[in-house]
Amino acid sequence: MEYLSTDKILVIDLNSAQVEEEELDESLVEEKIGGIGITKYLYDKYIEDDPIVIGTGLLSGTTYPASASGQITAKSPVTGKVCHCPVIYKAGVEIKYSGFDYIVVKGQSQSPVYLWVHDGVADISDAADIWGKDVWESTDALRKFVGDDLLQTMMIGPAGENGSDHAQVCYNHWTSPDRFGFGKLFGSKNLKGFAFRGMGLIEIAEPEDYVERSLEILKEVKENDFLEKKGIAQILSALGEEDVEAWIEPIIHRHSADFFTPYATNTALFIDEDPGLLEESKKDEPGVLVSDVYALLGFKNIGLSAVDAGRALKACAKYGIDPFAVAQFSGKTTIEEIKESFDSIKGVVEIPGSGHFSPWCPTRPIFNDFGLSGDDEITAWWERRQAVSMIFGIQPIFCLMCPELTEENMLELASIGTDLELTQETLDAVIDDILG
Amino acid sequence: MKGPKIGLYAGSGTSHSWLWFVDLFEKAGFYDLVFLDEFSVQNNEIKELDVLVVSGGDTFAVAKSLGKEGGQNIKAFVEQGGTYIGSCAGAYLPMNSSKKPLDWFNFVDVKITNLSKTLPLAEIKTCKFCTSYGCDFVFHPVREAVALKTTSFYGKETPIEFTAPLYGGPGMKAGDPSWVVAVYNGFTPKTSFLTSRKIAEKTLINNAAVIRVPYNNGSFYLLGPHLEHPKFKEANQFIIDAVISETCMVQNRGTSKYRLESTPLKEKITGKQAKELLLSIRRELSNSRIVAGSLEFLPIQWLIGQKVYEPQKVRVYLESMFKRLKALEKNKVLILKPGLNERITRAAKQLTIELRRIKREIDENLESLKTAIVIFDLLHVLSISFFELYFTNMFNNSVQFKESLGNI
Repeated sequence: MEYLSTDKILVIDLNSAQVEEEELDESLVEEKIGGIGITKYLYDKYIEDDPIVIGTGLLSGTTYPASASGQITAKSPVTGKVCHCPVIYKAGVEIKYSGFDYIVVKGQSQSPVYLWVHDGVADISDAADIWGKDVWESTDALRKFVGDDLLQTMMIGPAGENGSDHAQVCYNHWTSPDRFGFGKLFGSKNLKGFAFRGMGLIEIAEPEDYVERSLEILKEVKENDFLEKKGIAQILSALGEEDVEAWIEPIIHRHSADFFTPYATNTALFIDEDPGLLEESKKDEPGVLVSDVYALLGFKNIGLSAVDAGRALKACAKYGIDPFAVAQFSGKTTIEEIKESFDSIKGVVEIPGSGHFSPWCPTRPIFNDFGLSGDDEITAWWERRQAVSMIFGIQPIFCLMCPELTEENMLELASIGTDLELTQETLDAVIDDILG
Repeated sequence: MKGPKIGLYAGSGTSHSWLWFVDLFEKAGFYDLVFLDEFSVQNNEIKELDVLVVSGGDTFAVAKSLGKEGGQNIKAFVEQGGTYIGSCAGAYLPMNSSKKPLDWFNFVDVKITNLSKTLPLAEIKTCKFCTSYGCDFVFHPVREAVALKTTSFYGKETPIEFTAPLYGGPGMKAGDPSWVVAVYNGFTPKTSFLTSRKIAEKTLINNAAVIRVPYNNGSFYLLGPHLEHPKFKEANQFIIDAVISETCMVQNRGTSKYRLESTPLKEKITGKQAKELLLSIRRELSNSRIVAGSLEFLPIQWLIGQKVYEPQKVRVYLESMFKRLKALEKNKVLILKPGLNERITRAAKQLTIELRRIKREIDENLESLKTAIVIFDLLHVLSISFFELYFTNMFNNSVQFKESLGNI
């Protein structure tokens, strides 16, 4: 596969500590397009080995608006279903830049390891020095060791190592969309996580046309009024939780967007530093970056102050536990009690629809109504939209905001970018397969 | 014409500009390249070359590294029909000088015009403005692209005008005006003035930018600007034309040196062994360039000898090797000298270690100069070894390709 691709699938066998590479066949892209279309295919191919499959969308890391995400596909140790978790922030695109479109992890390591993936090389590395450390310490230790603060990580913390049903795979220092207990799955394989860094380039079949069409679509996207808004509080307002804005506003430091995403879906809260600070904080841990709107809302609903909600989110990120589950099931109302409850949290997070996609992502349209009505129609639309965003690698929350990102123009860009004829019929078939 | 065998000096004292020559010669299809350090010049491994290139860097450091023996070998090489191409520091090197250790290289009667007893007023404060030279100063009136024009001695009826960047190279006056093949003809919108325009004009304009000094059977080419810079195609062509015409001239004259056709001791590695070697090179080049990339965000530079080195220079070496990996990975068989495998992997691993060390030193505000010196030495060792591997195989592929065409 020459274009929009690194042409490589990595297969890592933790049992034997062997790393193999396969070429990504063009015919597979013609049949499954990409993203979770292919991670699902690879999951089925290696199903006997209970694989974790990491992937990127066909458009990930390009100039198509919001082409920011990657995916983890695996069987949830909690629900028993094959689920797809978006990889967000800058971590999603780094997977592709580091030289692989897809990574299959099979088996179980005898001792803790992490996978260092860089410029088309994958090293199974001893994790003895970071096993037992929290997500922040692990990420910091790896960045220091490698010598690069731009290293992107997917790590578990103590929750994953201890086998919590709500253990998350966190991205860099932050909580993730993982509501499936993938952190527990990583821990069961003695896999501390991944570190990605690459300076790879992605070839495009018709680069000038691709960029020109991307910019045309971006221009249409920018005509939306909602792009004047920023951050998680405004998303919650659009979902009917208007009072969150005033509650959180005093500790908002900044908003940040995922790779090439026109809306800042993440908000940094300063809880141990002046939120008005305009220079880099000299404190090691001034705050927390929040992408999980329902977790934030959950902590508000149990009566925490905004500062304590920030502290709770930070503690969850360090421990590598789903903050939404903590807010919903801990039954505690002080920050210290919440932290102490991490190992004993029980409860099942409801996964909507067919159970393949994370309710981290709001389950209805945001800012635009997309002409939908009725719960069933909205749920069906949401599932299809999630599937589409993760086939092409589009930031899944932004996909719920922006009608200008259509299946038609994603297919068009994919065809321009790959020189393959990718049709709506193919996309429909891929989605049908994913939704089972 | 038989393709020229070209040696590039990449040993101590050189900057990254020899890598530009590598790009240039590869694009021109000259794969018979030899990469030399100071020891190989001292061991007279240059005697079988057609062309010897000494690029930019720190002239004093290059002279000191090559030593008296290296100087004598270069002199003998040119006398016997070799072509010396010196760019920037490599141009200063063979000029007459009374200063040690430059006096081991007193080969050509050429003087520089950018020498002054009193330092002209600098327009821009930069450590790249001047270098002390005894009681005098070698100063650099401009940087970046300047305009050049060939003279009637270049051998073409109408003068050719082109541009090339000047990064500390000399303006020159030749002992014999017929040696001057191109002069500084003016400045360009991209020229950056480090002194007043008036001083810059006086120092450079109509003075020699490129000189060819005939020397017994061979010749010295002295290039003030970097004609080998990859963004200056016409200047590049000037060098290629010079290499071709000098090689043809020597071959036609019959003074071409007798080249031993004996095959140097080489081994072949195949299959898993070849794959593992290339993977280990890729791994360490990647590790190194990742940390080198992060160094570029840091406000630091190192003065090594008389030359200032920025972190950006590290990645120039690394990228130059990394971009050639794919082509090497297509080879199912690798040909290399015994021991080269180990030399490359050892240097590559050590480079990663040292780069990670220097990152920690800088992060913790510790002294980093010693590590920087080690890093630039390692970069030379690694890149010489890597390019030896690369061009041995590229040359071999091109020979096989030509043979296959012959069979058809």
